[in-house]
Amino acid sequence: MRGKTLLLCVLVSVTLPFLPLMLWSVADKWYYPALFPQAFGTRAWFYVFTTAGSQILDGLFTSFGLALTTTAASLLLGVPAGRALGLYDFPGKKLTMLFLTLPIIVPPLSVSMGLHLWFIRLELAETFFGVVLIHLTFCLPYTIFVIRGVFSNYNPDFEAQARSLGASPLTVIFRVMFPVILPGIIVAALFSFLLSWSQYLSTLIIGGGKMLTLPILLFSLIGSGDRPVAGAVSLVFILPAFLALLGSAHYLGRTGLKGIR
Amino acid sequence: MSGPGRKASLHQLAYLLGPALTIILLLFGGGLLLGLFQALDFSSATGMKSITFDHFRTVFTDPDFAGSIALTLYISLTSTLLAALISVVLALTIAHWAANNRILNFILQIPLTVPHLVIAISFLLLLSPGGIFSRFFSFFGMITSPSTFPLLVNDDYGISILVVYVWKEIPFITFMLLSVLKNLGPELSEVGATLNGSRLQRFRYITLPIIGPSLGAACLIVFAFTFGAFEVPYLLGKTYPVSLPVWAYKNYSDIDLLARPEGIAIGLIIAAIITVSITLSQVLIQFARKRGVIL
Amino acid sequence: MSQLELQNITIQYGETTIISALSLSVENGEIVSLLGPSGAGKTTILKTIAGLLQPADGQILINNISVNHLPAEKRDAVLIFQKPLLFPFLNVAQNIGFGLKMQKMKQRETERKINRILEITELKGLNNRKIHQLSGGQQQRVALARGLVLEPAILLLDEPLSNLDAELRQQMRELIQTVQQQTGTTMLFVTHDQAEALAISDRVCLLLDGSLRQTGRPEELFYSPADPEVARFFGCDNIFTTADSFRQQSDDVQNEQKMFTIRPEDIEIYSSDQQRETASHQHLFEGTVTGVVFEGRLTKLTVKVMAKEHVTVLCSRPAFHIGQTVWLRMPEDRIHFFP
Repeated sequence: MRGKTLLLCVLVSVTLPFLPLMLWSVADKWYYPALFPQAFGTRAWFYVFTTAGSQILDGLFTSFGLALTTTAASLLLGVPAGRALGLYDFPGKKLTMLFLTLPIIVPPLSVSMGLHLWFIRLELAETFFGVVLIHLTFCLPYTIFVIRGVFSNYNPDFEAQARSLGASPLTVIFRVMFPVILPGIIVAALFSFLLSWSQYLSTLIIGGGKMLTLPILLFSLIGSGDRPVAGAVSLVFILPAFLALLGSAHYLGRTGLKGIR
Repeated sequence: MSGPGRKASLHQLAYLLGPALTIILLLFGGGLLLGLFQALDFSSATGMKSITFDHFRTVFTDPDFAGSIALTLYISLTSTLLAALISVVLALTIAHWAANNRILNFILQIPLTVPHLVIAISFLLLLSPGGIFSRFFSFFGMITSPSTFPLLVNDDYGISILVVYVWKEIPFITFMLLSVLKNLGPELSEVGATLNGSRLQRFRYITLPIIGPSLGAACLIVFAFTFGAFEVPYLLGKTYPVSLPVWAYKNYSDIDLLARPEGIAIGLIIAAIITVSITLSQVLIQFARKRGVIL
Repeated sequence: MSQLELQNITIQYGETTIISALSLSVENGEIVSLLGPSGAGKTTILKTIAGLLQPADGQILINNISVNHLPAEKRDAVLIFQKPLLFPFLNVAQNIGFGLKMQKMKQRETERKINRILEITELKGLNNRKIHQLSGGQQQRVALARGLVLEPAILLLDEPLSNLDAELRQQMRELIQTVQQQTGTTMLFVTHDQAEALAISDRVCLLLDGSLRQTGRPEELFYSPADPEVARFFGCDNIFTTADSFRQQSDDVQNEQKMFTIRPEDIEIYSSDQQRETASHQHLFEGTVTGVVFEGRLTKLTVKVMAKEHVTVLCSRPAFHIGQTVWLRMPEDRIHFFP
């Protein structure tokens, strides 16, 4: 009974903010003080998905491309680093850990503004690769943080066992280590994806006006005051992450998204 | 817990850590350093002589600086404290009543996946004078027009900013606490009960010290984030005074390119304030532990 | 005066009944052990007495006062858990003083009590040690001291020795006995280890299948089991009925069918040479050795008697091999008839 009440309270608090987005996205006419839209319509959704609004679809692709590339790079660099920090003891380990996770607390704004001039000189500004690099600065530390946690509970004796049973080092990585740390990899990937997906200011500074990701488009829509379209784009914006959460719920199990922001 | 002192060769470590260290060193360290160069007007051509603290001086002597810091601190401290308080209650309730409720776990994870920007927009649509809450009160005749609805957006107290941060950060802190509480189980609290500790005493002397480190870490991360975040105060904040990150970006993107180093300087000040306050809190905690003060 | 009395305690977990109508009492200054196989619900009983679980039915009396309605912290009973469960954020002295702090005892008095108990539990000088700096045995002693210092009406111990290795277990067992003599603390000691229960306690309560089978002095349970299951629990497989093959042996006792048992170490075994020298021929049974298992101190022999009965015999340094014909003697005074 108390569990049910708790569930209901959490459910209402969590879902409440989605209500205005949904209502506005299908509202055609909704003047004050009407509690519900006076007329419903699909204008906003048409705008999002038709040629007239292909900008939104482009933004969706740009955001996806950036987030996926950043995530892949984060994992590629973060898994070895996380392994080193989680599994081995070496002098300066704490300092290394502190340095590698420092970008978690320092805001992207401070770093992006400093890097901008350098990126312009290196012709990285306003490029896809440049934006990936700035996102990586903040996604990589989270990946390392998660993977380190996974490896501190990891038993490398499994690897030795596999080697003694005749597996090659590469086979050990993909057939032994990878399956064991998979849940951690998924959490880390979600972390990276979400962090890159929702970056606004760093994308704006480094990407200039060229990298029109969803958050940048959304910001300009809010400025223009078109609430139905802003509502629809907001929903498009949260959908992939929500689907990813739904898809990974099985893998996450009881660990959940602890530590994600 | 970390492994039982496994050793790796230097070669192996370089191979594992090298790429990540390089990236962070170049992009993060480099970003901050280059920012500092720009804020100090340092250029390799003229060398040390060109260094000037003028930009920092301009920022510090700006009449709005104090107000801006106060507002930013107010927003981040209040939202961190509120979120922490609610999270502790929520985490304890969940650990006690619904530790393995997968539906509840799933629902609580949703806010983690929603970008701050979207939540700022939805609370704008909910809380603004023409928003859904205002319509709701008007529908029941409690207010007569949007202007009689209390100002919750772009207001003096940053109400909507706090609401967004609290909504977004509660699940984050709660999951941090739950992971400790679930591993812990009810046993230590049972020990406390059989040693004559009342419910309140058990919370104060057992649960709080146990969740303390995680709660502290979560709060620091939330504090750091809310102190340096741009989108939410930009969308929902007052036009004057603005929070530090908003001020920094306004300067940086000013048509007057001379304002740019000032923007970078503010960005560095933000980073410095966060780093110093976190270091300070760590030192204080260590000191308190040494003195035998629990938590 | 009984320190603890359980009257018809029934404990349920959801729909399943774990303990049904259990009654027992522990007298002042006694060590009583609650013995039973793993999963018999022993821990559940202790948690119920401590107030961490609620019984479905029955009364719990501590100092002759019903405590059913009292929460755990108000009961004059302290539970020592199987794991030490020391608070990791407190040092040794702070851990031991935890309960006193909860009672808001004065600093000086607290220190005095902590120091006294540290001495009794042989932990002197470890006051300021951190928990992770202690060995397993030390941790368990701190846990014991943490309960003892409160001088509860009854100390409930839940297999406190089971996480220790053999040698430490022995030391700790002796320590508990010494502490008990010094402080006079009444203890209810739960264990699945029969040797431990027999060695440590004034009385033993054997719990099988959710109910008490037999309560009594250790020797009573061991030599005069109440039923075959109790006998089997104490490692005695020799359960026979007078109607069986051994009728002629017990003809003179009674004619009706009765079950009896004899401990394997009480049976005398002879080879054919020795048999001729033995005087009391009428009590010898001829049999064939079907199994020999060397178990260290004693060797376990299985002997087939009269082509159907398997008798277990324990003896030291036997010189028998499988298939050998032997003679068994069951001394009259060692035979126990079940009531």
